Amino acid sequence: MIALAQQTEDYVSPGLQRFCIRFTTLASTNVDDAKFIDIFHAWIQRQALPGILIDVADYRHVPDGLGVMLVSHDANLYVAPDGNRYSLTYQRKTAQPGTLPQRISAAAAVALTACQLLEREQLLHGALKFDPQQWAFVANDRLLAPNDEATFHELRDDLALAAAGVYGSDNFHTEYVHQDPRERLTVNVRAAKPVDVRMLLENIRKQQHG
Amino acid sequence: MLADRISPALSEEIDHYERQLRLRRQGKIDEKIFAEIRLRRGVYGQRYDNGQRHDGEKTQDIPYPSGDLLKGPNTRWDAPGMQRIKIPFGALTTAQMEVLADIAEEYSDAILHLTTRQDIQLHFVSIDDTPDMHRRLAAVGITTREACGNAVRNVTGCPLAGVCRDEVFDVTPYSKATAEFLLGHRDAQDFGRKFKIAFSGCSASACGLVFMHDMGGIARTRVVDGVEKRGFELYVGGGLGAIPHQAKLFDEFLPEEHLLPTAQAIARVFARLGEKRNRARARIKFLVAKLGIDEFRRLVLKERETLQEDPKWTSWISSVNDASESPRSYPATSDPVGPAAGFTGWEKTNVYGQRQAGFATVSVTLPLGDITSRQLRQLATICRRYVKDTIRITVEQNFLLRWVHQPDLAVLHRDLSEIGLGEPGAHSIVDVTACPGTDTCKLGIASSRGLAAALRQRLAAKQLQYDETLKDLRIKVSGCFNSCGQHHLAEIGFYGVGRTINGYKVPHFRVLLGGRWNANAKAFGLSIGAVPSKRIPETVERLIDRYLRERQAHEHFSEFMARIGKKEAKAMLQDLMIVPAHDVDPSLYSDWGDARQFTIGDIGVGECAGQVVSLADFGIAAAEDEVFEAQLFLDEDASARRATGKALNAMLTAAQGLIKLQNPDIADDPEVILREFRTRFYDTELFFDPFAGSKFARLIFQAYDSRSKEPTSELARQRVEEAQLFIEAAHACHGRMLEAQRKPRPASPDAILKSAVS
Ligand code: SF4
Repeated sequence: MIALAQQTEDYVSPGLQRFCIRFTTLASTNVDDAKFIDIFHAWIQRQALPGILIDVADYRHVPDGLGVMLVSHDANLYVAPDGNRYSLTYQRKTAQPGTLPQRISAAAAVALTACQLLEREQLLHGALKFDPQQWAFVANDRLLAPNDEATFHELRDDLALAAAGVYGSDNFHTEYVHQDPRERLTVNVRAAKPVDVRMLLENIRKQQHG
Repeated sequence: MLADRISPALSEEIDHYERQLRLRRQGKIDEKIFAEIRLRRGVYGQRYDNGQRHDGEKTQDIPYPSGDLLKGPNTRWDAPGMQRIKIPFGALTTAQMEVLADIAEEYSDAILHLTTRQDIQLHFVSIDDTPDMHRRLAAVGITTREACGNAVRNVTGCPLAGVCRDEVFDVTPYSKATAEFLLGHRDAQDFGRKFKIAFSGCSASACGLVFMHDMGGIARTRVVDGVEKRGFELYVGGGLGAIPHQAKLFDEFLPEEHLLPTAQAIARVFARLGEKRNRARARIKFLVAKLGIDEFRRLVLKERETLQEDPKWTSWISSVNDASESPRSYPATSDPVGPAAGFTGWEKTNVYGQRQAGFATVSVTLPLGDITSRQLRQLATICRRYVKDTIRITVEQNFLLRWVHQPDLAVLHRDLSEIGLGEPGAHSIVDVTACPGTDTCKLGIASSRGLAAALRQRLAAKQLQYDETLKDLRIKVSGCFNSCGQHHLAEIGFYGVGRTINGYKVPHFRVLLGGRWNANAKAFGLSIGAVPSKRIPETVERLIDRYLRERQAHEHFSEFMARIGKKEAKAMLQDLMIVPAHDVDPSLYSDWGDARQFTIGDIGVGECAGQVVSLADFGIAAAEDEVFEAQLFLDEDASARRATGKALNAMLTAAQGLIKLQNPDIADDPEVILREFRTRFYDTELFFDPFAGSKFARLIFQAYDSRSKEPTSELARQRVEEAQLFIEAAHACHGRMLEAQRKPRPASPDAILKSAVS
C-alpha cells in the first residue's frame, strides 16, 4: 500500500508531496506573453507569493511548452498558452507540513493567489480572467502515485476533502482523466456552479483559520 | 522493482554517492571534497546558488532553508542545481527517452536540454533528489558517472556514423569501446581538469569536431600487406575554452588495436605531468604546448610500452562489423499519405539520404536544444512507429532519427508536426546554438539563450533557412568567454561581455568572424569588437545582407569576410557599437528575456568619479584598437611578430588605463606599468575574476616574459585571444571599481579597494 496520504501533522509529512494544481482562464486574446517575464520579476522583487522565489525561466521558444516560469525553491509556477486560453500550473517540489488534503488546499491557495494577481495585473490590462469552476490535480510522482484507477481510488477521498475546503461545499465532482498511462495521474475537479477566484481564496482562508 | 533492473555495480556506486551525501549533510566530509564527488556524478551548481540574487534593484539574500549548509565552496545545499546526463555518442533508446522524460517532469522543470556534447541537462534540481534520479536512469542503462569533474567526459561521435555517405567507416563501436574502457578507469581518475574525446568518420565534415577535443580520432584505412586495416588519424591537445587551441597530430595512422592502450597511456601521462594546482592551465592542451607534440608523443609511446596487457584493449574489435543497428523490416505506412503543410521545406533542411538506399535520417529541430517531457515521451512513441532504437543526439542540439524508410517521410513529418516538432531549419542558419548563459550558468555574463531565441525568430521570419547560399553558415552564442556555445567554430560567433557606460552596465556580445564549422572545426573565428546585446540581430542582418549582395560565385561567407577584411567588417558595425545614453534608449540596458536593469547598484556618479572613469575608459578603448590592429597584422600581413607585439601593447595600454585610476601620472615604460599593475591590481587581487581568479591577470606577465621568443602564427593568434581576454577583464575590473565607488563612501582608499573586490 502506498503512503499517499499520512494523516499526521508532522512538519515534514511523508506521502505524496510532488503534485501540481492547474487553473485555466476563460478564452483570452491580446496577451503579450513577454509581459509574464516582467510580471514574475516584479513578483520576486516584492516577494508577492509565499515561498522562496528565485528566478524566471523563459520557455516561450519551446513549441507547446511551458511558457514563462517563475522558479522558487518550493515550487515552479508557469503560465502558458493553452489553445485560446492560458493555463497556470503550480508545481509543488518540496515537502510541506500537514495532511495531504491540507497540502493540496495550501497549494491551491498559492495558485489562486497567483491567478488573482494576474487578473489584477496592470501590464495585462485585465486580459486574463480565470475560470476556477474547474481545476486539475496532477500527481507528479510516478513511483508513489502511478497513473491508474487504483491510485485514483486511493487518492479520491483526500482530494475530495481538499476540494470541499476550496469550494466551501460538497457540490463538485472529481473525474479521473483517462489518457496515455505514461503521463501523470490527473484528476479534474469541477464545481456544480460557477465560482470566482476571490470566493475560493476566502473559503480556503476560512478553512485554514477555522 | 527498480532495484532489479540496476546492475549491481551501478547500484553500489549510487548507494555510495548517497552515503557521501548523508555524510556531507552531517558535516563529516569537507565541502570541497564533496563538490568533486557530486560533480563526478554530473551534479552541478547553478546560478544564484551562493544564496544571492540581484533583483534589478538590489541584491537580495535567498533564504534557503538549509541555511549555511554547503554542497561546495560558496554553494548552498538546497539551491537548485543542474544534472548533466552523459549519453555516449548521443545514442538513445526509446525506453531511455521515456525515463528521461519522467525524471525531468518529476525532479526538474519538465524541460530537457540537449547539449553541444551530446549530453542531456536538467535544471532546477534539488541535490536531495539526485540519488533517486540516478537509480531511475541506471535502470535503463544510463550512468551519470563522470559527466562532470576532472574526468573523461562524454565520448562524442558523429551522429551520422554508420549511415553517412562520406564516412570511411562507422566510428560508433570505437566511440563505445573508448567510453566503456575509460569509464571509471583507474588511470583516468587523477587529472587536473576534464578530458574530452571525440570521433569522426571523415575529416571533411564537422559532425565530430575532432580538432577542438583533448583527444580525437578521424577514421582512416590503410592497406597493409594487401589487407585493408582500420585505424585513426589521432589528435591531442585541442580545446575551446577562453583561448582555443587546435589539436595537434599525434599519429597519422593509429591502428585500431592501439586505440585503447594509447588512450590509456595518454591518460597516464596527462595525470602524471599535467598541471594540478592552476586550473586555468590544467587542460592537456597546455601540457602538449609546454612539452611540444614530439616530446609528448615520445612520452606516451614509452608509457604505452610499460602498460600491462589488458584483454579489454581488443576484445571488442572482432565485432565491430556486426550491425549495431537495423531498420524496421518494412515501412510503417502502407498507404503513403500526401505531404502536410511545410513538408517540402522540412524535407530540404531536415532529411538526409543515408548511404543505404531507401533510407533517410531525419533531424528533429529543437529550438535552443530544448524539449518538454511530454514531447519527448510522444517522440519516443513516434520513434517506435518508424524506427527501432536508432536515435542520436547531435552536437547541434537536435535529435536524429536514423533508418527511416523513405516512403514514411511524409507521414512522419505529419506526426512530428502534431507534437510541435515538425519545424524545418535543422542545422541551418536559424538553428542557432547557445549555451545556458545567464539563464542558469553561474559564469554567464549575457543572455545567450535569449539572444539565440531572438535571432532564430528574426531569421526564420525571413525564411533564411531555405537559402542555399547560407546553407553552411552557422551562428553560435556563448554567455561568456568560456565557449560552451562553441562561438569560435561558427561563421558568426558571439560571446557575452559587459560594459559600463556612464555608470550603467550594458550587456554586449563580442562578434567573431572567420570560423569554419565544416572540416571538423579546423578554423577558429576572431573578434572584431563588441556590440550591445539588443543590436546583435541587426548586426547579423547587416553581415548577411552584405554577403548576399556582394559575394562572388561560390564564395563562402568566411571567404567573403576574409576578402573584405576585418577592418571593413568592423566599419560596417561601428555605429551599432556606440551606445546612446540610458535616457535615450533604456532598452539597451537590459538583457534579452529579462526585465531587470542590467546594472548593479544605485546610480550616482560624482564629478570626481566621472573624471577617473574617463581616464580608464580611454585607456581600455585604446587597448581595444590595438588588439584589433593586432588581428589585422595576423590576417593581412600574416606577421606573427607584429601581431604578438601589438597584442602585448594592447594589454599594457589596458593595464595603464586602470592604473591611471589610482596614479594619473603613470609612465609609459612597460616595466613600470607591469610593476604598478602587480602591486595595485595583482597583489591586491583587485583584477582577479570572481570565478577565474588570477587567470587573466597573469596573461600580461606571461606575454611580457616571452616577448623575445620568435612567435609562430599559432602563438600570435593565441596572444591576440589572450589580449582580448585581458581587456575584457580590465572592463570587468573597472566596472567593479565603479560599483565600489557608488557604495557609501568608505573611510580610506584601502577600504575602497577592499569593497571593490568583496
Ligand atoms: S560559455 Fe560561459 S555562460 Fe555559457 S555555459 Fe559556458 S561558462 Fe556558462
